[in-house]
Amino acid sequence: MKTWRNWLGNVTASPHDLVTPASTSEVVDCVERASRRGERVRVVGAGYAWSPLVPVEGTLLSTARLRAVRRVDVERQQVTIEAGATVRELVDFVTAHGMSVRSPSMFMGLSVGGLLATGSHGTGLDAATFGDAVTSFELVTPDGSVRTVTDVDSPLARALLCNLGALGVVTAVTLQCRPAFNVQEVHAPADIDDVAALIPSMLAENDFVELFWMPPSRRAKFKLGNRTSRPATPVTGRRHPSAGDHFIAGLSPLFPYLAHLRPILDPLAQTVYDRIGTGVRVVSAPDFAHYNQAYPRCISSEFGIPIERAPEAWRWIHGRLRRYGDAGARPVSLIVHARFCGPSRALIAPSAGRATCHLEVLSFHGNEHRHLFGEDFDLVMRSRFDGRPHWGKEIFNPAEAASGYGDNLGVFLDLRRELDPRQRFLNPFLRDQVFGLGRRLRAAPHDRRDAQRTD
Amino acid sequence: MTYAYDHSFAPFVFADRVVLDREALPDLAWVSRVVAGQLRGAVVAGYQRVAGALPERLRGGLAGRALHGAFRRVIPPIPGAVATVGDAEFAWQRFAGINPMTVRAARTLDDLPTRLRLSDAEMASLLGTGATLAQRIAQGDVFVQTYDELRSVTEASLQRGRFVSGGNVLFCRAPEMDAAFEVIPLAIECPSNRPDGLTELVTPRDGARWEAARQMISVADLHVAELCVHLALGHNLVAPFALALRRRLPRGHALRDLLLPHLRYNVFIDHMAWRQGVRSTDGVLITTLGGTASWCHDIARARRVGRTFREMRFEADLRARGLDEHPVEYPYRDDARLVRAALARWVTRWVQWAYPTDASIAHDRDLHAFFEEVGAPDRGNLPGVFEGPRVSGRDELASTLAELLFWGGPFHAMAHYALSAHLEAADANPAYLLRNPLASPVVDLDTARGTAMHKGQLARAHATHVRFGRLGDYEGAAITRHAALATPLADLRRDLDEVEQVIVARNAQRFLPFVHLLPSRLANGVTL
Repeated sequence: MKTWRNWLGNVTASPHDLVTPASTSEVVDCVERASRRGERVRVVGAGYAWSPLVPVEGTLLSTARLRAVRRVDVERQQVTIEAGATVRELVDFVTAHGMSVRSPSMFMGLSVGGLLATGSHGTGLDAATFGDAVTSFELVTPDGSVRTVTDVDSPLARALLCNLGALGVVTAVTLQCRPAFNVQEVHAPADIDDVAALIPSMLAENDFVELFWMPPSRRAKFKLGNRTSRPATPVTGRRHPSAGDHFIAGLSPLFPYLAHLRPILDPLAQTVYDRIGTGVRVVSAPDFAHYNQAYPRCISSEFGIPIERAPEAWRWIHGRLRRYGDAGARPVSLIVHARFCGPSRALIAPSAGRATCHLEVLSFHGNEHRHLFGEDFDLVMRSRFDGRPHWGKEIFNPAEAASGYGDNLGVFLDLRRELDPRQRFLNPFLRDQVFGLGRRLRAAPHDRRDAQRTD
Repeated sequence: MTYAYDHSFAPFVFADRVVLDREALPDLAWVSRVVAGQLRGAVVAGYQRVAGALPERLRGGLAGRALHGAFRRVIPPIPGAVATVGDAEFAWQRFAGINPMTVRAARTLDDLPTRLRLSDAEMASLLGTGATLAQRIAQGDVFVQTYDELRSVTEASLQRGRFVSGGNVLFCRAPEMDAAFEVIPLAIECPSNRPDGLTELVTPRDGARWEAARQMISVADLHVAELCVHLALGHNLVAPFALALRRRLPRGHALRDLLLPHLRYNVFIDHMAWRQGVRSTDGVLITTLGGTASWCHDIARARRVGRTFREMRFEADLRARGLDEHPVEYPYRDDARLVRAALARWVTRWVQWAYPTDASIAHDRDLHAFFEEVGAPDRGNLPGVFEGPRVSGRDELASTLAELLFWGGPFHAMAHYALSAHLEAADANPAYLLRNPLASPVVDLDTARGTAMHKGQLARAHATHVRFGRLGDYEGAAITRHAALATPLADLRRDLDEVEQVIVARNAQRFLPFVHLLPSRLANGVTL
């Protein structure tokens, strides 16, 4: 038996076996061996998910050694890379070849496979999830066969864009990149009461929009970006944080114990907030997207809601957190954060079929009030704003997490059943709580050509 | 000096003392294995004391992880655990877990406790089909598990700070559902703290309350597994035979030669286990459970009181529970039948050799004295070994001896090692709870479970996970001196090898492997 924990330590596992194959053929061997032993298999990338997607008592398959770049085609702006490569490795490689990645995650420590498993994303209405840029998947299926999926509109490809590790092991992908570009970055503070009304115009007038608010501050901040041909000025401390940045992030385990020392804590938290950026400057696309790599010990929940509901949802969050604050509680002790993306082809990504506002709430780990707001947040986002939780972040009500996908969920589950009839690639969290398979009929397969994007 | 009976745990019997008998006392090889087990248990206990003393944050941090890693390098986990982590595992454990002997098929609605007679609406919400409970019963799809033995629990039954309760569980075999295992748990009836005394009905739709109810049942099941399956059946069912062998079968008797490899250590082990493990609440076994010794004794007795050996036989038990011919996947039944068939073939050939005719059985006074000893109320106290007052002939003798060999060896091994594997997954499979997790509106299962650090189950699991000998291995035994039995013995070993392959192949197709009846993991008899 091995032990595994995620980066934060809020998710742990004690699998019978922890394997780290270095090639697709080794992945096949691992999958087949686990099958012979009758063991479940779960895949782990960099281990940054807050939700219990990874724990398994059978075989835990790490992609840590699947990091090679297999092919680059600068003319077609494509790169084929293995699923264990980190976003940093991917971005550094494509940048060196004059390309940029569509909709990468902000944090560069995540693995390519992890982004695909959870439907992760960046910001920008011209892109959706990271996976929407995939033109080809290499998949080791639960029966040990290797498939190459190139029809990006096929139900299987759409399922793989946000696959939760339930369809097998994605070992490599080919990504459609775009030419490298620079971004004029503007940090525009706004009074918290004006933010909601400003969101539509910000989205209409800018290529990239993010929104940050540190409760209970009266000031929020729009981070706006527009493509530009002007030269970028190098920015230190973003993709490569300093020792000081790491030091401050390293203090975060103490923050829950220092909650009463607001005069000390708030400036420290403000430091984290300011790291996002200030003022106006022209930066490279990677510097715009990956602005903070010194992550404090925090925990995040996020919902994807229809983009047109963003102002209303923002008002609700602000109002609710103000009421908590009036009662002396601060359940969101770090940041409320919004990003905006286009509609995804994925079957069960939060942005499936609709332009989406991704609303995130982050707290320092150990926040005693977090759970109160978290359940509140979950219920209201789902029921009032038709929200879908981010699969890689903390999910307060797993039983309802998959409820917002309509027929897409049925298509996904049919594919899953076809590939993995013995449910070897599910753990009890996904099987019982999220999908509730024991309460679902083995329905007649959906007509996958008609699988509607839920718009 | 011979053995006398200790009836203090009636209806069960033990030897009242240990007799210095080379054949009954464990040899050095056995002692060294047991001592190694005790050492492992001590290391586990020591690790848990040290780790348990660490503050929570340190335990989960680098220091704690390093300590755990070092611990696991020295004490690797016991394989084969099925952690009660999901509904499919929970259902599977009823058919392939530590206690596969409580679940029964419901033939009519009357077989179900009143609270488990779900309405049509409740069935529809849980299974999404139109079939009513009565219809599913008629189709043979409904199973129930009731912990009648635990119904008597009161606060006085429990050790301080521990909680165990009974409960009832309703299952439905529903292959039309997209479940990992075809049997799905539908509802659990739990005791509650309601002032009106009504129980609480919990279903999978109840979120955290369902998980808590499932955990309560798992704890109840462990107590029945330990006390009724392992102790009462695995040990105490064959104890009268082990004692009668020494009191009634002279050395050189063919039956003694057959049975001794299977009953060799029982007298010693049962005597020591009773005195050190079971007799009092601070015994090494009872102390890892939730109830007092007195209550645990009552639970163990519950399965035995008023029942004869014939009623407790394997096939009779299956018939009584409606599972002898049921198509449900039931690894305990299906794999046990393979092992039993191999033993039956061997025993039949032995009987044919030892007793060429039925008349030769009739003339064997020692044989009859042996079985009379087993059944006598003031001695073995195990009635109803045969259909009549005596064995009627070779067929009945072979059938009875095969039954005895199964209970004394394979069944005990299954029960014993399944338990230690189960206890290994201490966090998911606690031996007891600290309080009723359903007692308050907000379920806090983690607090109710406590941490494994503060319970003795892991140390006990490692101390007792000691293997010794292998089923069908009679090296050095008197029975191997008979040339006529060489071929049947070799055939037994070949049969068991083939059974092993069949079970391995079955396990590749099962929801989870069931390893506890693999012949390679079975012993001839009780070895701990």
